[in-house]
Amino acid sequence: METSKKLPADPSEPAPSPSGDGAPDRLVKGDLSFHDITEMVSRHAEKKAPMAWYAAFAVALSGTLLLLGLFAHVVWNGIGVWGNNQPVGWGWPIVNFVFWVGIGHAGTLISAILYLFRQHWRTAINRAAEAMTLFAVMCALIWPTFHVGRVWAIYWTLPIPNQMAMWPQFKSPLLWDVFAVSSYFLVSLIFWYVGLVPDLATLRDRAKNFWRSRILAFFSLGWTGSNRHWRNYEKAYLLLAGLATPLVLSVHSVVSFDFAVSVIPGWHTTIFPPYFVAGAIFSGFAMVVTLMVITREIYGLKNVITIDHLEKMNIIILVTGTIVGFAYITEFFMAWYSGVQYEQYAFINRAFGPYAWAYWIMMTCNLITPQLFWFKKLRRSIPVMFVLSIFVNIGMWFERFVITITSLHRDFLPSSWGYFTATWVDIGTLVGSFGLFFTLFLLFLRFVPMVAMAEVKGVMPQADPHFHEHGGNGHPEGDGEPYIKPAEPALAEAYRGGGPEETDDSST
Amino acid sequence: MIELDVIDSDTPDRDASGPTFWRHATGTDGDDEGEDLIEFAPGDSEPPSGASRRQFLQLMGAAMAMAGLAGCRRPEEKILPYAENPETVMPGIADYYATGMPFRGILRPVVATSNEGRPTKIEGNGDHPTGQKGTSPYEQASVLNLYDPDRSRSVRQDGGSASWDDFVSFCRQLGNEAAQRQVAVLVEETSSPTVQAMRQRMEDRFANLQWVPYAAGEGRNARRLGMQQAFGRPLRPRYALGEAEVIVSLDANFLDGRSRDFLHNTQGFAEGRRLEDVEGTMSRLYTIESRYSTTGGTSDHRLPMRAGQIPAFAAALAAELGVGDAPEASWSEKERLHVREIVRDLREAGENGVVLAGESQPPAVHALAMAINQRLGGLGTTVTLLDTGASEVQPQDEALADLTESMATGEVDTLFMLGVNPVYDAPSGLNFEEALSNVQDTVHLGRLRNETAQAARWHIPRTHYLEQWGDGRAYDGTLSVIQPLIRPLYDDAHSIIEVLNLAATGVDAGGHDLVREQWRAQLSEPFREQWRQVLHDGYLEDTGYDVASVGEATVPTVEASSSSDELEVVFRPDPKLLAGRFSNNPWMQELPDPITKIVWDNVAVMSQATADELGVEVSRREGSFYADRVELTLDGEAVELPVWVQPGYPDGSIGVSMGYGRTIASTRESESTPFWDTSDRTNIYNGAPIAGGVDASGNGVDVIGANVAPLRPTGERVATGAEVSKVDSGYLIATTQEEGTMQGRPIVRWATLDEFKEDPYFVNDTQPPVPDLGHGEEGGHGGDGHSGDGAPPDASGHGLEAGPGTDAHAAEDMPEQTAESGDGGAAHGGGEQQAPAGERQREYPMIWQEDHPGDQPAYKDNPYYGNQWGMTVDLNTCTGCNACVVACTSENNVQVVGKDEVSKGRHMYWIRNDRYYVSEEEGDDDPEMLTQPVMCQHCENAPCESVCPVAATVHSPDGTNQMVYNRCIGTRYCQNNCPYKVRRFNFYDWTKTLPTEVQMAQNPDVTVRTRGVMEKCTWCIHRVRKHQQQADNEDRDLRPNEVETACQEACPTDAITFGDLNNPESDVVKEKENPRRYELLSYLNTKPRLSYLGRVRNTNPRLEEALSAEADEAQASA
Repeated sequence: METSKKLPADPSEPAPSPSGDGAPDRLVKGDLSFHDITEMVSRHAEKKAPMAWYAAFAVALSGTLLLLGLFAHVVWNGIGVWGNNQPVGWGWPIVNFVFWVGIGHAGTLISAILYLFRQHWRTAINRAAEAMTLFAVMCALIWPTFHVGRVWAIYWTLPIPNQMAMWPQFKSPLLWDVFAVSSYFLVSLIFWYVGLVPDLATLRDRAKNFWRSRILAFFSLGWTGSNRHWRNYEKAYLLLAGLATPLVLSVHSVVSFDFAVSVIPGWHTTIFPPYFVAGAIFSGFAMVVTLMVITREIYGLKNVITIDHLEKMNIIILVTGTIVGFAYITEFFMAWYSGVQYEQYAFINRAFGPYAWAYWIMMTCNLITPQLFWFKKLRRSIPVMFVLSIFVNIGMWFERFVITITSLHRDFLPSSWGYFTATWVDIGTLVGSFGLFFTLFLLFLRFVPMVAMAEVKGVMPQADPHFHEHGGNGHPEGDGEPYIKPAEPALAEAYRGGGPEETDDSST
Repeated sequence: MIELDVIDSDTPDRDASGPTFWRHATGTDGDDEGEDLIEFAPGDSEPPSGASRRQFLQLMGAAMAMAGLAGCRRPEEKILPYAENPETVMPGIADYYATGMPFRGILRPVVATSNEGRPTKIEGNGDHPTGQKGTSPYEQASVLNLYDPDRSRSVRQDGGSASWDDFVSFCRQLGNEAAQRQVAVLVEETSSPTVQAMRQRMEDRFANLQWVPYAAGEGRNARRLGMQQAFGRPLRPRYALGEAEVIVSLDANFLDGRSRDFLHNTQGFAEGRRLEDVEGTMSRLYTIESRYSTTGGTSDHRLPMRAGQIPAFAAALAAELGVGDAPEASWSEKERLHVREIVRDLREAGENGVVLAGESQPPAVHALAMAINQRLGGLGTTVTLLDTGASEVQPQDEALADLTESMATGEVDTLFMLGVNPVYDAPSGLNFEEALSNVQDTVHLGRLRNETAQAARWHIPRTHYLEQWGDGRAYDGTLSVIQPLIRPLYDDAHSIIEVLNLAATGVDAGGHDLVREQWRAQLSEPFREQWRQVLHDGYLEDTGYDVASVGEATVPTVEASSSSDELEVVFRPDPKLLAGRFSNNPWMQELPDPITKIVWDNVAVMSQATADELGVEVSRREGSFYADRVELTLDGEAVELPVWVQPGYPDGSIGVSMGYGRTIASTRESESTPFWDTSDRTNIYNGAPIAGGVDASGNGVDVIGANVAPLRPTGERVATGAEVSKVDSGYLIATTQEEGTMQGRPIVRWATLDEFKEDPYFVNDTQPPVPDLGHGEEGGHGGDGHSGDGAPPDASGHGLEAGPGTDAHAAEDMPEQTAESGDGGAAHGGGEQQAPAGERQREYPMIWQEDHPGDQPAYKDNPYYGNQWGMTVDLNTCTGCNACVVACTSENNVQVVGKDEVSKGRHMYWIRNDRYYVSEEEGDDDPEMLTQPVMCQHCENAPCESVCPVAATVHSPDGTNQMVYNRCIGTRYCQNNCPYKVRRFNFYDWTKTLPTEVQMAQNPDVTVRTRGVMEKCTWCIHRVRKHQQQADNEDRDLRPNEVETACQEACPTDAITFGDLNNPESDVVKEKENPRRYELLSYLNTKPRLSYLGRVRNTNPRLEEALSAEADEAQASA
């Protein structure tokens, strides 16, 4: 066995294929063996983090600290430090909440719905996307918590038996939110964790350090990779996918009820649930693209997270973006068609009123720019998709801004019309929430296998029971050898020696 | 080692020294039997002497637990009971005292509420012969002046502190040197007989006493001079506007709280405007005014005109009516038409026509108005002339000018300035401050350490009217006593009477003795009973002024108006602050101006054309107004003011208001908080006095607005020849309402009287197009409330095809449009009360209707049976005077948030007066004004209730929407979902920084809200509960109209009616049967318990026609 084996990292580089056919439709490029996958992914959780990670982590952590400081400020002084007023009772905190919940849609959609639909390409991105989901939902949950006037009494929204013999008010969509978002978070967490178990076991087996192996052993739940384990695992995973699927659709529907159930023109709309879900998927996928484009570059995962994966996601962005755009136009049509002057005014005001700038930012970023993905060249271009995905996230933040704030600022009685202006605390907390998100995501990249190794291996050609019948000498090591080869110290050493960038360089 | 007593509980140590504890009176009166002396029976409880081990452990255990707990609670505050309970004070039960508020030289009869010795609320005295129950905003706000944290607390001499005794010896010294002393007294306008008596005493002591009454900004008391001009004596006109058919206001803002006889005028006017049904009649009000006022907004025809032109207009009117001659003047077609029609109307009305002249008009206009009234025959019907006993009146500013001159020439060596602030508000032309420095001894008596106090040698804190004895006459002359409700908050505070008496006699007598002594002469025997009666009633019967009999009025000649190119500036007391009396009153500072809705600022008001000419503008962006600031120069004196563009303002006229730009010396410490705490910025009581103060070096700090009083020419209220130059731009003006139009929405519904007679249910025509919901007949006919579901919509797309629930007979009885739409709702009580289509609300069976399901036996046990509260607001009689707003603030402990927070949209007032401009054509610069008080509508289907996640806002069984502050976590969802936007959120802890004095003004019956909770109008539920408890105690049902909300009680026109919908005797039930009744935004199916009665204008159709023809012509020629 050659000890100087290199990992072809760039998929555009045709690598010699054992079967000799180039396998253009393969999900994993670069003719990697199972072992290569294990190495590629596991090493990042095992070796020392690169300087870039520390730098990014420092920035993200200061954002988190900013968030904590500003929330202390809010709790000490009151909601007045934000820009909220009368009539705009909900300002940026709720905009941010809906924004982050929306981001949190992609992960579970990728892992659950695409799993049920047997979309094998999901395997490369589902782990990171799910992690992103969890962190986004965490970032979302802080907003409704801290935006209330008396945060110390927030637990009154939970159905806890108490001396007042008081239930929460089950008619309120805010309460539905509490249930919807918390169960979504819980199921997503379990789903993510269950999917992690085989990979944690891999890490455990590779662990050199006593405590590391102990801790990983604890979290990998005694996984041995036995047939029975796999069978139970697959069942559990399937059931959880089934459980998570309706939640993906329900959570943002329920969030949309916060608006749709009210009487305010611009909120009181039946189109909201599907429109919000589409918007959430749209923004979630955009966030996944943003993160994956960076991650695959820095961590050298271009063979696993290939341009084909990104293209598929871009197609979903194109489709959902168009749905969202269609919803925008439908809203206008319905406002006109309803004949209700309040409704009509609300939409004219949206497009041409004092917040028209926000509306047109939203329209540009959500409806117009994603249309560029109709061109194959553009949707396979890394710089284009990176910029567009950021545009989508800006646009989706503004969509929530437009819905929340422009509807509230001018409603029924013109005497009560007002205007909302964000304060520095609004801006600081939004920035801080990104800090929290990236802090968590960087910790994830550092300590958890960022690609679902077991699942990726499952969709590789080698996993096909008939793989070896084609005559090629694709068999890893010949009969009698273990199917999964234990890590070879020398090879592992070689990988540990060089950073991902180095690997890339040497492959060209 | 601690030695603890071990006590045998069976044999308490009776010999131990210390008090004996007993529970029952029996056994203590001389019964020597030992057993009976044991107050605690064995086993009952342990006697409280010494401690057992068990007790010790219990106590220590509890103390430990408490010690831990104390750390996480609010600081401990002790509520102590009275050591000696004062007679008549029952905690929790308020006392009411009749007293009077001195106001611009008259006394306004009021009833003050006292809670455990703290006056907290002022109401009108309905029993008073002037006969008014309501109040103006000033009475309501005056209670906060008592608790003003910036009140002067101690005597000051030469800028240092002194004691009252020092002042007493100064006065005695003065008395001893009486012969050599030239004493002058500058005293606030007052009608007090006791002050008159004190004046006599002063004159007796000081031979050459100069006595000058002075009221800030009054100019030359034009009305009295005008009356003198007309009849030779300064008679006092009193109007019976209820009798009037045609009212013409020549710049008279008689519907504003500033006018002396406000209550009487407003009530009389409302009397003439009340419309029960189509048979009703209404008076017609023409207003010719040099501003936009509430009177103008209420009028049927309003003509903006420069103040300088109104005399000529009045003369033209008079000449047409055969009184005097009109000077040459060129009138526009519009003005000519107005003259023609007003004259025609006045002629027709005859003795039921009345012309009123305004305070900013010269005396000649007042005389002319009286001459017109006399010619119409109105003297005796619509106008009563009261003889105040005065024979001649000197123009006020002239008197002040004389005094100033003698001060300047050194003819005065002692000047008493009692209750006045001339350094602040005298015209600069008089050079009062300079003259003041010429006077050897100056004494100032004032509630605040204000501008004059800082300039005077002596400053004595003045008592508020709620802490002093005094007396006075109401507008009609009725004698009344001012009785205190509380001891002066500061020991040094004294009243005018006390100071004058001290100066005159050297005796430091109390106000009570002085007033009583004065009244002893007034009252017949037995004095004690009579005196008690006067104190109880607040007035003395039959002491009103006599009606004067007059000869033919002298008709003055009016000069043609001066050049109309010159910019005129009209000075007026501020509608909120008066001329400064309420400057330091945060309720008034934050009260939106009735027209402009501006808070915490004074502005130079002008029309759009004037602003264009001057090259200034007010831009509206991001929910606030940003105005250019101008420098207004008059005779070398300049002031900088932001500009305000007011639609309907006469071109070439600038209105400014007094009462701003105060520099009051603070008497309290400013608080400062850590940098992370925002209360430094949000606390209106922080730092300088509320209206603005001075720092140690005499510079203004936090001064609100600018003082325009020095610019006023002596003796005038109108100045011409002002120079205006732009200084800068972008000055933030905070308003509570930025949008002035209704955007074509049916919010305030109105019609002309003719339209109303033609279609009594006009309010329903202006319903927005309603989606076909398919509601049919409901209730009373076996319908389940949804029987109409699925009924196909009719062709009009507006109403409904007769649903299965529609009863046949209703369709027959219905007016045409009703039958067309097939609405079967409200088919109760016969056809004449039939509601036509469009009003979805009416389909819901109203609970006062006979066949409401609530009246079925099955429902009688339901909690919904019983009192059901409802309210109506009559937009026809509401004038937008703001009394309700301040009354609500005072009653409900509503907090004030300051200019910055208001500009962010965080004002807290629970009731607001929405003001909308309406014009025929878009962009018309002379719109009409509609005003609508909006508070919580108490929807039966409240959108706020269903969205609260913690059930903090819920519906009460008696039909009000309640807010549970304790339960609220502050999600603000209810506020978002309230279509009326009446909910107010506590963005900060507004009460955290409330000074102790202001805390005393809070109503103990109403919770003070904490930060982070929502609040809103409760319909004064605490008053409802108080009356219900009372009724329960007396074992009776609530009487109809027994409960009154604070806004209703304060409303001078009875526009607000509150009551029990389940009681057919209640006024509110009658009001709800008015055909003009509608519910705001009823298409949302919120079913508000508050209904509005649409406004009806009694326009002159001939004038309307002529005006539109003229407009068409003008357009055609253009």
